[in-house]
Amino acid sequence: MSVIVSVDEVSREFRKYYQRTFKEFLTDRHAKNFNKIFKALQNVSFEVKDGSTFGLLGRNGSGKSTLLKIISGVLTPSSGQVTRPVSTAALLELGAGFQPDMTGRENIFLNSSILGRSKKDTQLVIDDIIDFSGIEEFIDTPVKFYSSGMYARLGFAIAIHTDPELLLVDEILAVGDAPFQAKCLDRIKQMQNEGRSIILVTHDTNTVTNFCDSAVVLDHGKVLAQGDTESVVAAYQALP
Amino acid sequence: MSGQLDKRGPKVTLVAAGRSTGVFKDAKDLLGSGELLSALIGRELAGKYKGSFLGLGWTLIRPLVMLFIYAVVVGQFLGAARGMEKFAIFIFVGLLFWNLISESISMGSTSMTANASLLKKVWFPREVLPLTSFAVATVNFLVQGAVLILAFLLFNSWPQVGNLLYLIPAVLIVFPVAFGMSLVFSVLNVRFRDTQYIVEVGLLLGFWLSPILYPWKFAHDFLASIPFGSVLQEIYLLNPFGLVVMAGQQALWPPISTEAGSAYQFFDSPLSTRLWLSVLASWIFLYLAQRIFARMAGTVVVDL
Repeated sequence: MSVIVSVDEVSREFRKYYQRTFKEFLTDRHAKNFNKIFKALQNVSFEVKDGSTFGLLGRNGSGKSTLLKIISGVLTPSSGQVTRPVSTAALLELGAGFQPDMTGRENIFLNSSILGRSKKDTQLVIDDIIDFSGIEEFIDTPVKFYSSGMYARLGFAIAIHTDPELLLVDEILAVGDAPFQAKCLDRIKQMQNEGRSIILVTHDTNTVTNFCDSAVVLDHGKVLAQGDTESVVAAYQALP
Repeated sequence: MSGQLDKRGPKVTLVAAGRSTGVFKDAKDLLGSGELLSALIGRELAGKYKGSFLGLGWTLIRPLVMLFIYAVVVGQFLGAARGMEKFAIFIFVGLLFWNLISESISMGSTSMTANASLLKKVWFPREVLPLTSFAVATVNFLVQGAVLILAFLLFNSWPQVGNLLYLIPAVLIVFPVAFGMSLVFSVLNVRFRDTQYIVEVGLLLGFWLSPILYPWKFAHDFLASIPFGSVLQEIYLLNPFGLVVMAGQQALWPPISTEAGSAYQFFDSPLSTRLWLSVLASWIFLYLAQRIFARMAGTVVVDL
């Protein structure tokens, strides 16, 4: 089976020190911790097989969300490289780029184009998107009046309708109420069946066991274990 | 919806910042983002005047008021017109080009910081944001250009068709320089918020150091009368925006082809060496600006 995503020796560093104006830069240049860096990821490598679901497991601060951002392209690595399909949808931040003054319907077109889908293609699935979001009643209301749940639901509905080869999911299952969560899970299962590849970030071992074909555990920015879900979950649980 | 996924599309390789994949690759990515660009332009235009009664009409009101002030107060009360024919059109042409320049650069400089939520969450060619600023400024330029045509009608005086050729080098300079500056300033502004204020001051300076409210001849004559004047003249003429404004005036100010107006001509032909050298320099500048942008854009996202 071919490889759809390859993460090759990816490292990412952040500076601990941070300044916003040029004056601060000049005056604080000699501060003690000015050049201190924090290594969020160190030489992380793995491959995701085409059509499989891959789990990224780790505690808070292990670097898994940073890694997902690098795969999506929002962050660049400090070194190393990532190869992934152009057609990728990231369910990292639902409703990113919504324009508050525009209606839900207008935002569907705007958001879809941000995610790389043409107006014509969006036209074809707009009814499905509205239907899935379950907010037909308010679709012509400006999104600034939406509740946070409605916001996330519309964002989710748009992202999964962009017909992606690869889906990046970050703690998605915390979105919305129980019925909507169930709907999301169904949808993710359906996408698995359709042969799409998924990378799932979580700190919940049940999610990994139930959904994933293989996984990796990150700890302090390094790969602790990778392979089949059983051994990975065992390694994760063995973490102190 | 889409059902079974049977074909596999192209892949993208994401590398460390500074190890960019090259300007042609980046340009190709940018050209492939037409849908996004038009959606963002629509968002800017719709969002800017949302809830206002006049909407896009506000684009016209500011330059019309400025035109009034400069033509009547500056031109006549202060006597800056010095008997120049159709001074109002002269000023309006200069303002038309200057507004395109200043609006695209000032909006472009804050385009990354203003779209922080988008940049932190979604991947797309980052050049789209400064380019959107330029495109929005171009739309306003065209709307204001319609007012200029009204002015031609009103004065019943039209520019010569042959002179319109000056618009070609003007456009070929204004796009790379304004877009290039937006690229550089937009990433720098993420790092140092001072940038946007420096840009404001720079644009103020640029406005008065471009022959907009006065013809180049006035600056030329003054500089000719002081020591080192010829050097200062050359320095003045290094300002690409000044050249753009002058080319615009030569194209669109009707009296330029009359005997009285010919004294205000600067370029002897649309093929002027100075113009085309400037075109060349502008595109080299855009290339360098894009390299800086590509190097910094990936890393500055953390600072947003």
